[in-house]
Amino acid sequence: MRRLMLTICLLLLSAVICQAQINNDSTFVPKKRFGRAATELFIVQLLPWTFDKYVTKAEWAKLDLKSIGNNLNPKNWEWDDNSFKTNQFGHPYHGNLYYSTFRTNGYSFWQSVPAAFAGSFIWETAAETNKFAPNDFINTSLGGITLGEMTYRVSRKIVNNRARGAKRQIQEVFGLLVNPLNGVNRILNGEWGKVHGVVDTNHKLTAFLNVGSRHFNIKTYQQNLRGREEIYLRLRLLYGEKFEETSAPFDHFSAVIELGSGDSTYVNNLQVSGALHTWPMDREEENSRHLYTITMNYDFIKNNAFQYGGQSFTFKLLSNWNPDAKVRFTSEIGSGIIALGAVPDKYLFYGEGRNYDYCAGINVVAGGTMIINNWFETELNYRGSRFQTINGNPSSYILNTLSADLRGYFKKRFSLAAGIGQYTLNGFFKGFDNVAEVYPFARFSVGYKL
Amino acid sequence: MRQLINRYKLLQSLIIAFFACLTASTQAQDTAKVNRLPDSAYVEKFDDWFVIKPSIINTAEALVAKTGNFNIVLQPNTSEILRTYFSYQFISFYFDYLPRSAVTNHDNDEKGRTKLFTIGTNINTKHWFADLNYSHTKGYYIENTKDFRPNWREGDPYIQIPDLHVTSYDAAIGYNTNSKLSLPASVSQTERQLKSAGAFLPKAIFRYYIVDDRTPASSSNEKSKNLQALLGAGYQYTLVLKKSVYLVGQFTPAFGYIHTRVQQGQSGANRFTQKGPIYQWDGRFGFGYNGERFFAGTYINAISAKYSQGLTSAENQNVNLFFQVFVGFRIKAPKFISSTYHKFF
Repeated sequence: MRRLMLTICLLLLSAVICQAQINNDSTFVPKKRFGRAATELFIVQLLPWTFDKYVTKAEWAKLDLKSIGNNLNPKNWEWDDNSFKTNQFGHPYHGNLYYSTFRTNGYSFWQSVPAAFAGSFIWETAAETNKFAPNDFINTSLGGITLGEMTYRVSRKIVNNRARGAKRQIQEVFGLLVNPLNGVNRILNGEWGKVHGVVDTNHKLTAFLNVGSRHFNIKTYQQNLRGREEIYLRLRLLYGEKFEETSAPFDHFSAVIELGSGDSTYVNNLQVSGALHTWPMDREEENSRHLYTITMNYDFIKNNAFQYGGQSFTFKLLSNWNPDAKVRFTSEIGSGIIALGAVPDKYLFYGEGRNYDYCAGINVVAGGTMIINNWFETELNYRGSRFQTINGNPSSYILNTLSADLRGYFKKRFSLAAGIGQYTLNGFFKGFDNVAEVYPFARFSVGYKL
Repeated sequence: MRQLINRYKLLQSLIIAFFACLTASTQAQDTAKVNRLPDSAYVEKFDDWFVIKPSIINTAEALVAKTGNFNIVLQPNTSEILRTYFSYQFISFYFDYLPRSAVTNHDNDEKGRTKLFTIGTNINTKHWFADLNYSHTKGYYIENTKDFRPNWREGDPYIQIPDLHVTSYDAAIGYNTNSKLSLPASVSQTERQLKSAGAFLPKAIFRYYIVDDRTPASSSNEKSKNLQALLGAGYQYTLVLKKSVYLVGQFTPAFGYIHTRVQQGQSGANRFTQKGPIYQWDGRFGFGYNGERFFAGTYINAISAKYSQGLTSAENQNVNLFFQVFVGFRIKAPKFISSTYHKFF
């Protein structure tokens, strides 16, 4: 985390320094700048490495050719022992910077994907003496792509290129905080603060901010613990039109960011699901619309009771049953693969705090919403996952997640929301007793549509 | 047990490999070029033909329970099951029969005698499909007898539980998202797949089954009533090699919840309930010939479910891995059946 914070700070600083030297680009047509993108990719690796080598004097930053040679040999690769937060949030966030170096320099989603993989590979082989960690490579690359495209699109929606004055400056700063590379390149391109182009109306971004109270419980065979009430803040983002055909990745995505006052971490939930490709089902119906979609997903869940992180892909059938009616129903069902999941293992604790197994798996997802006259909304979501451990204790898992939310809107922007749900984790171990635990949760909040 | 698990892992791998190989060709169904062809170019219907399909299945469902190091695998002694299907239009019925002869199901001394009664029906419309099944199995043996009797040798009688009854009611309803894929072509053979096609198959699966140990004079009798509801989202692909020769692969992962009520002791004095998540997968891989009047094929099928016993460390696994060899033919439906059908549909 410290490495990431430093990267952001130094990028901000360099952005300000560079501002005086920029050329104004009046065309504002996305132009591919390979040299700048590659340089930025190098810089986002160099800055944290330099800090760790010369300021914190970290052992792992003392590079030599031998360590690079060792890391290039797959026989020496080793799953690492970092904490859940470092591996499941820190690395994907850093991957988001790698991805953004190309994405914010005129390259498309697919053209920027190699940057995330390349950045991750270079870091693992040539930026630290620690052994190449496959989990870092996967989390940094896949998580980086998902977070990178989400933050890129959000940051571009935050800034209105037709806005002026202080309002515009605030937008630019927020945009930069959401995606630092985008902010830096806006400065370098001369877009920062400049009135140009047209307002981006292609994709609608709807944000719901909720503040309220929540609690998590733990139920096991031996105990039934009730967690304490805690304040939480939840930001729900809906980008684009879910029921529209598109081949452009992340033309639609949803994201949930939850912050809380729990004792584990401030960021308790960060889940992003972006559509890579959405196409209509071969079925004609007058009032309803059915589409297939393939989504790329990032999950980071860490609260007082439970933690789970993963990178996955899902194939889903989306149905909008009656889009023009007063009472509207939508549904979705699908299945997918979990490329890498971090599942809590109560029998594992070593290194920096590794208390989870790395698994691959499959899942089934289902969900439905009912919206009554735009005043009342209810949402039901289910996800069942089956994991086989790749690294950790010999084990396999079944994880069920079930949640139900009710929202009542009043005065157009304000809402009251309540939700309940539970995570159910069954772990099947060799050499240890099996584990069966339930983590119910409940939340109540006041919401505001931004 | 290890052999059983290895076999079903092998099948799981086979099915996944099949889909991996077909990924590229699977895209074909979604391309504009292929979609312009009408459904009739993909599926040939045998509407007024009555289909009779006898098949041989090599085993029935095994029950596995594991608590710590204690592991028990209960198998019915059903080496050969004759399953016969009668199909017409969109509906198909089947029943099971256990043939006993010098070459079939002849190892009662070793594994005990199993009685099996199964009936079922499949309904397949253009998009919707449903399966209903009832089965009652009596008489099991413990496959891992050696774990309980260290002196046990291959050829010795297994530990037998002749009064273990398992009654199961199964129902599934699903939706075939691609009308170019014919499910009857691979299930009831009332249709024929002419061109390769695949479909996403979401379905809801329900099962109520009772495991009842009625062993007389036993103090440890147990009866469990299990209700499970799952959501599955799978895929089937039928690869037509030549007009009448096809390969079929299907895989459906499903997740849900199971609720169990347990009665222990002869009077059922000790009662408790358990609930928790359940994972199940079912798959099929096979090939067949589907001609005008005659068809044949062989499939390997598997259904495997796994769950914990509530919040305890005990786990259960229900495994059904079986080979099916079938040969069938179509005869012109009698007029009264045809006319009755057309009166209603």
